[in-house]
Amino acid sequence: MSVLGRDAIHDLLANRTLVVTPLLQPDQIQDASIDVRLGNEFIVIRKTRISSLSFEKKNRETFGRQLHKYQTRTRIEYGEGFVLHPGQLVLGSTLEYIRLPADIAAYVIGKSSWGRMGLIIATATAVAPGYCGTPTLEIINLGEIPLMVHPGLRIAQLVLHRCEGARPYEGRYAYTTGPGFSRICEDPELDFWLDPIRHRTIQKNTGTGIDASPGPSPSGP
Amino acid sequence: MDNERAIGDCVLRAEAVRRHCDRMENEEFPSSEPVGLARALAETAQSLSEFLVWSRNQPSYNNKTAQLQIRAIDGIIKWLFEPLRYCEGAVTSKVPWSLVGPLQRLCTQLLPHTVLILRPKWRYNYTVLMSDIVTIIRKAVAPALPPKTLDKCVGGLNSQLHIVSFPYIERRSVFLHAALSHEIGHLVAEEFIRADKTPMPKAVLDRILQDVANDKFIKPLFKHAEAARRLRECAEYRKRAIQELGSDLVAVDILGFAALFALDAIVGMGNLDDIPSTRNTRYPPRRQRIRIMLHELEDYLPGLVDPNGLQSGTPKDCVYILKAYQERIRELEIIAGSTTDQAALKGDKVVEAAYQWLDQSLNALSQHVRSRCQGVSEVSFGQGTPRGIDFWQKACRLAHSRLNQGLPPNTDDDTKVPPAPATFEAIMNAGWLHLLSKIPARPSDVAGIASFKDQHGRAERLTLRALEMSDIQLMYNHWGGGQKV
Repeated sequence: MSVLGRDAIHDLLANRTLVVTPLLQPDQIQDASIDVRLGNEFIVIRKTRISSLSFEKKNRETFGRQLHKYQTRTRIEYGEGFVLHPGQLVLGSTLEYIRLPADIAAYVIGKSSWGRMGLIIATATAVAPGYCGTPTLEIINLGEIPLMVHPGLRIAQLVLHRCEGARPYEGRYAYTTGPGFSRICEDPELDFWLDPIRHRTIQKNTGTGIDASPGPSPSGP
Repeated sequence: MDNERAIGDCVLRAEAVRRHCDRMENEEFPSSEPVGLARALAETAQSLSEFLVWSRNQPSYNNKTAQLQIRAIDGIIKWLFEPLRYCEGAVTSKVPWSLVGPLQRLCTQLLPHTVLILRPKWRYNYTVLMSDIVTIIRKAVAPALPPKTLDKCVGGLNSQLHIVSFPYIERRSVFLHAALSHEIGHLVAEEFIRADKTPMPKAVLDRILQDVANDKFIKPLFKHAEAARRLRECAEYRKRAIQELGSDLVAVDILGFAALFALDAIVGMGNLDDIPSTRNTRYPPRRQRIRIMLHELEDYLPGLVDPNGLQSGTPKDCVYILKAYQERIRELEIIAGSTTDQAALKGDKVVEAAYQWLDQSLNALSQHVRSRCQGVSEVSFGQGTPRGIDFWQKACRLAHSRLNQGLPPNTDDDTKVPPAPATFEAIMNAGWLHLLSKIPARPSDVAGIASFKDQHGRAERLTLRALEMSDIQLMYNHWGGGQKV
């Protein structure tokens, strides 16, 4: 699939199938990407609250609670700085609210000017076609000294490309207006993969192969 | 307790105020006012305790007379701790922070030297602290501290500072927060009350006196006292009605129908004809409030309540919005059309007399509010201009092409770079139009609860997002955005 260039991006914006709001400067539209800015809401890690993150067998809710204990939401005013220490991971989001057309997918990648200072902007980079919201940015300082970032600065870029046969995104991260906590504990497969042996036992006992607990969809394993 | 120990306790209490203030400074706030207030309180407490220690070491110190002074200062220091609860409540995580900037801007437009601290309260009510908290501190501390020291302590707070509270349970209910315009309105209504020199009409006066004279249950000895009490009550009922109705007028004049819908929603299922009494803090009947707000909308925003006017002014693809809006307005018109509240007011002679007096002041109140609100917001651009329809069309576009499409209504045209920000009032009204036209009033069944909550949550998030974005866009455009930098 080809990456969309400046003119194609302009066309999509003009006919309102692609929305990037607010687009504050025309030069945010680059030759083959759109510069996006850092929002002012963050999810930071509270290292001292728990010893480690781990799924507990048979209880995915515990993991969800653990995650909220481990991470906390914080917001700074525009004009204030946010200090990222070496090795620190924070979740941020773009200042721009984005709506992709149903046939366009995107990648979020860092700006090289930040990358050269050790700042990695996104680790989970794919944005699904039809996505609507503020993409969450996983931001890590891989440099050796603390870095101060300011909300509003151009920190990443969206690379758009056409996508055939896609359906509009209606996933769990749609319509977000700030960084989102991980929802890995909502993965329906978790029940199985945390304890496959138990499911073999159920199959033997009932002879149906259908788990008694809620979880996997009919098309699941 | 002896004086020596009491002075020591004062020093320790002042230190507790300072420590609490230090903790406040490390919290996140959506505006600088809460920290400014906390700092002023801490510095005042500190100065008071230092003043006590200094006085103790003066050769003129008299152990007996000092006792009164120590007791007074101790009382003030304890009291200074109390307003810190306003600061503590105003932290970012407890308030709808996207709303703070736009609300302050609206307030500054209306009352240039007034700043607000928005904080939640556990009781279900929107309120405003009518007294400027800086003046309260100054008055309380003035007898105990030299003016220069006092200026040093509270000099950083050079505007009037009012505490506005919202019910905590509604933190995210941005649409209901349109009612905050009513709270700002209280400050405008108060101006009217301060300037109002209208004497009690002779007819009202005679009526009250006559009622007392005719009352066989009042012994002659107490007739004068009872007449005086009823006259005071009458004035108080009228004053409370002016406060509430004046604030309602301000609310609709600056936020349009969003304020009307929000104020109606907050009262909820309350009795429409409850007459003012000390039990309900002398609130005017809800029916009367709705009637006056509807009338103001009809009068002030020409065409906004008139179905024919709107029919021709509504964008074609927004007819479904018009339908839902008209339905809601019709419901309110039916409420306002009944006069059962006026009949109920006759049930209490003092209240009836007060409202008879009030009727003669309503025109002046309305004129005062309109002159104060003119030009403040997009709604109140000016009487007699076709702003009603303009504003309606903008709100429809924001509701239809933004919120209904899952986009924040921060602008109605993203093709311009930078986009023109939508105003606070347009966003709030678009939110209400979206709510009325696209979100069902209740979940269809138990299975539909999740989807109902999801739709509400999404509309609230997008509206709050739009408020914050439009604020940033506005500041960016002022800086010179749109120029290639």
